[in-house]
Amino acid sequence: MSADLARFKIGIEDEFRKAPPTICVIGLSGVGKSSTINAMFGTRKAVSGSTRGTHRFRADTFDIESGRVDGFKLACQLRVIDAPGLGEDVDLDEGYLKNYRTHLPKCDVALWVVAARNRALALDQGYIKTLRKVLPHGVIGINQVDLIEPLDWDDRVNMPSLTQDKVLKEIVVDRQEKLGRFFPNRPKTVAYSARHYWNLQALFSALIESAPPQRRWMFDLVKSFSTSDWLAGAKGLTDAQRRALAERYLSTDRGMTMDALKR
Amino acid sequence: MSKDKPIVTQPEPTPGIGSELDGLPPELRDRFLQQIEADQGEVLKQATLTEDSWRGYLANLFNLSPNQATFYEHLSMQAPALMLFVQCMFGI
Repeated sequence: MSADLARFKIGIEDEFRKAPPTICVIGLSGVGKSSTINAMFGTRKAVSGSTRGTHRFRADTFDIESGRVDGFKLACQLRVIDAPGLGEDVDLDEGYLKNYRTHLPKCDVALWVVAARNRALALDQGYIKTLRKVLPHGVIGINQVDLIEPLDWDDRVNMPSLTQDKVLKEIVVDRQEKLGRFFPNRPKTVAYSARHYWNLQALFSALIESAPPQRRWMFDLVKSFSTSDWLAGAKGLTDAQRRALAERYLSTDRGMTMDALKR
Repeated sequence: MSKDKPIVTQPEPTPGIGSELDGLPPELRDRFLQQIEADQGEVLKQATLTEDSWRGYLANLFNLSPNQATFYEHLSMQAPALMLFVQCMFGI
């Protein structure tokens, strides 16, 4: 490895150690906050470096080995702040909200997750209003779109059915209006399924767009999914068809090649 | 088969959109392809969104001017291997 590249690797790894990219993921209990983070950053496989918190408020730092630069393994970290029990118990909520007030100003980006089927938004609206002053720029994520009525997710292509798709468009407009207006900025609202890896690319773009410009490259390095993960769930395709599609369409989604450096 | 005729092995046909999505109704196939294209559009958008961020970080790391006009010139002189990396990364 040349001196330039060694300096590059050390510089990046130092930067992550000093101030890892930090996401605050907020939402009621059971909306799929952890599965969303796991799907985007592979944190289920990653080692949780540390956990601190009160009750079930967590601030986890995950060690992630980035393979985004081909042939180049970089030791990166991602910090996730999360209250998995928010909305379960009014006595505990005050503690969670106090913790969020402490941690939110230190976050690069907030991801507010709601379940697509949940039409009762008063609790979310209340929490957003309470935290409004400390919320960084964020994204509203509408998860669990596969559970929209009439529950006919199309397994052949791993996508919402036509009927679900029509309902989904109305849900996005509704949540954008009912939740978005309480945010300090006008956040993007993105519907997705963490379970099926459907539309995660749009969610990831919205997150990067919300992150401070000088820190966006750090999020790019810890991205751990590709469109192939979504294609893998399309049961109407053979493996050969999936491979052909990936080869034909997904060439831009392979990370970065270092071939030029070997010349 | 005549012994005079050489056996010619035909190459496997290159899969086209049709063969990749055989068995799917046309309207479903269209929606599916639209989603793939949308996903790839997002991947390109991510590359655009992070490019300046990377450039700023590298400029800082190597004490270079973040000004785009001079950035590559300095980088190619002071850190040639990294310059190749940057070319690679951004497809320059």
